[in-house]
Amino acid sequence: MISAFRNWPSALFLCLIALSLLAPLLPIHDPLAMNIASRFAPPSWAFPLGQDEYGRDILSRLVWALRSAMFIAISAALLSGAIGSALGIIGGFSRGATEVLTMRSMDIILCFPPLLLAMLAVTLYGPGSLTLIPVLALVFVPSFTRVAHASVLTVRSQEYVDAARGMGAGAGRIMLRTILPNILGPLIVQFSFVMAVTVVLESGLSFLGLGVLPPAPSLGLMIGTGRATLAQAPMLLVWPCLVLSLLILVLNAFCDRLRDWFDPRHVHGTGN
Amino acid sequence: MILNRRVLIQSLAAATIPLGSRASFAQSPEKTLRIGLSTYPAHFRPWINVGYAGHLISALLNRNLLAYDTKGALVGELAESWARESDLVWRVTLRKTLFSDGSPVTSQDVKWTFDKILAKDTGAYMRDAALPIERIDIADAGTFRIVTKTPSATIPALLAYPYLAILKAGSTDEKEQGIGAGPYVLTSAEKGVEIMLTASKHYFKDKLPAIPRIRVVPYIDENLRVAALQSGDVDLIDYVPWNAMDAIAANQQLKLDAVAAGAFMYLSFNGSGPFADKRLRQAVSYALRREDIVKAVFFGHGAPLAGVPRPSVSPYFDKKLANYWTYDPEKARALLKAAGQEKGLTVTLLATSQYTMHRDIAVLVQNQLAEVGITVKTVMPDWATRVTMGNRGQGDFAVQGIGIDSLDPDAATTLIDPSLSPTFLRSRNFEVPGLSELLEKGRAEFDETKRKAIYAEIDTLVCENASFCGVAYRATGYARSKAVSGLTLLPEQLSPFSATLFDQLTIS
Amino acid sequence: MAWFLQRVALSIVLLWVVTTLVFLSIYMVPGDPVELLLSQDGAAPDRATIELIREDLGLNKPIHVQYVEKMSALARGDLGRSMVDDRPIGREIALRLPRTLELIGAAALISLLIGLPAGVVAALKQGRAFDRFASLVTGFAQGVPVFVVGTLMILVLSQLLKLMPAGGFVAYASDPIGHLKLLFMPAVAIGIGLSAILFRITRASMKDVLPLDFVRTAHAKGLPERYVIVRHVLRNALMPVITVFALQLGGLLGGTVLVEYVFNWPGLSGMLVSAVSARDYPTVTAVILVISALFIGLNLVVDILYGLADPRVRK
Repeated sequence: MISAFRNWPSALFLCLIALSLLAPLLPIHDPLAMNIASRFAPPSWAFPLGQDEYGRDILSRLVWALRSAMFIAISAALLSGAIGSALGIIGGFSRGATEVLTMRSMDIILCFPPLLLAMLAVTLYGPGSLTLIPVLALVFVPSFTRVAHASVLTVRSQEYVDAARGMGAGAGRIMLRTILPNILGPLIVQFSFVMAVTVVLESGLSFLGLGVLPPAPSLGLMIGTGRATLAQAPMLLVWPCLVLSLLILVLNAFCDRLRDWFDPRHVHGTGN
Repeated sequence: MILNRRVLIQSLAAATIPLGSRASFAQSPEKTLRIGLSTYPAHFRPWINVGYAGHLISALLNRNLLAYDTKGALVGELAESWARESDLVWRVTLRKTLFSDGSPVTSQDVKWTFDKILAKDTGAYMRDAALPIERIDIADAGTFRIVTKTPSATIPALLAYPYLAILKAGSTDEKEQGIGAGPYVLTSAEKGVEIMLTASKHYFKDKLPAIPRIRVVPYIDENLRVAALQSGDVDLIDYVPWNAMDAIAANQQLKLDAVAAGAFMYLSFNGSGPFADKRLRQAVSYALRREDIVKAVFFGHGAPLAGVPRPSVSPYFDKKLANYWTYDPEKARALLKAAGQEKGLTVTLLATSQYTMHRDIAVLVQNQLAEVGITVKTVMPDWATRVTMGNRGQGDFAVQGIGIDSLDPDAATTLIDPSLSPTFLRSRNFEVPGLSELLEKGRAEFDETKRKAIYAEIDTLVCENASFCGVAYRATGYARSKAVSGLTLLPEQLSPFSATLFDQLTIS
Repeated sequence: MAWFLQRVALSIVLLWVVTTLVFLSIYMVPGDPVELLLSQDGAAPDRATIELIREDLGLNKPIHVQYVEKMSALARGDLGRSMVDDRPIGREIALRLPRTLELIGAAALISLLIGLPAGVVAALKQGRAFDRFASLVTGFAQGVPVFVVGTLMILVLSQLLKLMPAGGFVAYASDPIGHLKLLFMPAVAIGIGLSAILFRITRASMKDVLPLDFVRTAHAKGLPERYVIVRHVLRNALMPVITVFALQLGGLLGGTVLVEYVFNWPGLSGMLVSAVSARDYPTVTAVILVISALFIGLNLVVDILYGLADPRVRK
């Protein structure tokens, strides 16, 4: 376990989590405080990365945007993970009509490309973080269902499941206590993957004006507006681009590490 | 895998060509003006307001009876002269002009056009404004009379409205855009890709238009539109984004034509909530720092709007009334207190996230009102939802943007009178005592001095009651490469409709 | 045979469910197409006009009547007419779908030229400098969203260097060179991310196959290294690569929204976006139907191929 956390993706991932959690406690400016007089001000001691088109502190907006991206990603992944895994486990365990119903209903969602589905749903319910989370969760439910379903199929006939059944455990108890812990690995990998993809999707929607609503800071939104003020302040575009790319890089790398860790087929370190 | 080597080499070659020949695309084909347009018009049907981009195309295809010149004076286009015969009758004489198919423009075509506009099912934008017209009497092929139901001073201005082009009778049955008498003819159009226009052989102005062909390409993303101009893909763009104006003005190869007081942004109030109390409406009007909004949202390319919008070229402009609302937070707080809301008022502001200026103004209004103790919750759905919500009367107040399409003072009526039919674009659910009567009086008055007095009274009444809360004028901008000349703009609020002057453009 | 028929029937049912869902959800979306059409730039249409046009467009009929009419029209292959400009939607889609496919195809080609060979080499030289470097680069390439890449490309290639047109479209028939130039930047913007994905799958898949017995046997038989790699390793590693790649491309069918937006490429996604914001119901339904149909069709093909390759799948 220690070896898995001694590497940079996990370390950086923990740093991002810490930064997001501690954002309100950090000695940075209010990300919403405006000062039109000092719009586009260059970096200074008080504002290390300068100020944006409303004279707001860019550094604190980046931190808060990171926090909101992480919050949305984790909430959406948790929500879709919970629903998707539950459906997958129930489907895989019960078989028969229930299985067909759960898996086929997932096919319906899979018919829509994720960005398209998210866009339609946002138009339906209006933009904003509160609609974003369930919408993004919905998009990724099938992926969890499929992973859970496939894992359950391999676990279902294992001895310990039969043993639990023999001891008279109910279906619910078997699914929750016996099957779930044994398929947690792939689900956690899937969770980290969905987090990364959610960040990409959220930033894309916000970039189009369909995601996080201003004045709340969001990386996609900052990139969208930064594009407009490229001539006045190019760094306004560069900073959120950098932070977003790094965030996704870290999440992807972290996901890879988890996969290496949980995937029994892969030996740690180099192959061969 | 499935690719054979030849296909591969061909595609490799194709991928490298663009890097090799940089000169070819920067030059335009002979004498074609390439316009980068802000939107692809939803359709080419006449008389329907499809936005500024739609008007630009319409202005190239069609002509009105009258039009404004660059100083804001009415001049004849298809009409040679017009005069009031009595309180209810206007006589118009047509110039000898031809439609683009070569047939003459006659009184019959004018009458058909007005019948179409007044019909219920064309969705004509000017229908309401044209309703005072009772009938068109044809005297002969070149003369007709407009008979109104009530005395109407606004008839000449009406004839110059952007959405009142005269079309050949019956021509909309064959193609949706009909046959107009404008400088260009539509030759082909592919939705979202391009619109091709060629010069009309029968345009009535001598030797015009000078440019034989126009290719219009829509660039919905404003940054891309600017990039297309900068990289030489197009020669002229409309709706220059404010953030790019300074860069374009500084560019040696480009020229920016801008008018500061173009269309404008304002707030409308819904009297079904706390804003039924006029003191709260006033408090909002006094709490806004309009200069900051112009600076932040329009990058300084605009002007504060602190009264009822009146073009400064118009005789109805009054400097004092135009600057009625000053930034006065003390007064705003006092008004809140007087209304019993000193503990803090919470209201909902309806805006849209789809358009940057609406969104940014909502953010700034929220920020500035917080300073005087008004908590603003913003609701920002996409534009379509926002229109419906506005029409249903949701939200306590709303961010609005509009342009005025006539220099007649009556044009502001639809914005300032909350007793008109409820729509998303004006205040509603409260009354401004005496306003409707005054507006009616203003429409029926032919004497300019008396009319001026009436509109001064109207503006005072509107400001006192804050049935309209101006925020900021936004600059209208067209940008072009130096190769394009002959571009002139209409004054102030009419400037977004400057495409009526595009028949004068030349390209070297 | 029965299995194939079952798969096909299932796909058709799926398509029907999707269409119904889209139809219903669209009617729940707030916003009215007629109000919107007549409310441009702050115009205020009166109720009577709105009602008249609604009647004209058949929007006042009860929803179940509209549903039956829509479904029977679709079954006949009639996609209907746009509410905004009254043009046949089928023709519009026929015009735009090839453009989106072309964009995806060009991006796929780029990724095949970059991602696949890089993935093979990286898998063979695991842990070496190239592998580490390529893994880092692709990690980053996968992370940078398309709209960031696109924006930076426009900034550098067209605004600063003036090497490329900023965006837009001309038909290949009217200007082949211009067409390819306009295709270049959006295709690269998508191709970068796609290459990264292809690199990673190829590398992972190769890694799975390399230690297997038959590879060792081939090596032990003294076969030349290149021969072993191409004939044995690559061949066996390619199946999962093709599957994932095909599904990725399928996902791009509706996923080119951002690129089409940034580069003004008039494809299918752009059509859908503008139809949604104009609440052009028939167009929205038709475009989604076409995209899902293609997607379902692609899945069906993958399924059937798997069924042919591995009889165990046909339980």
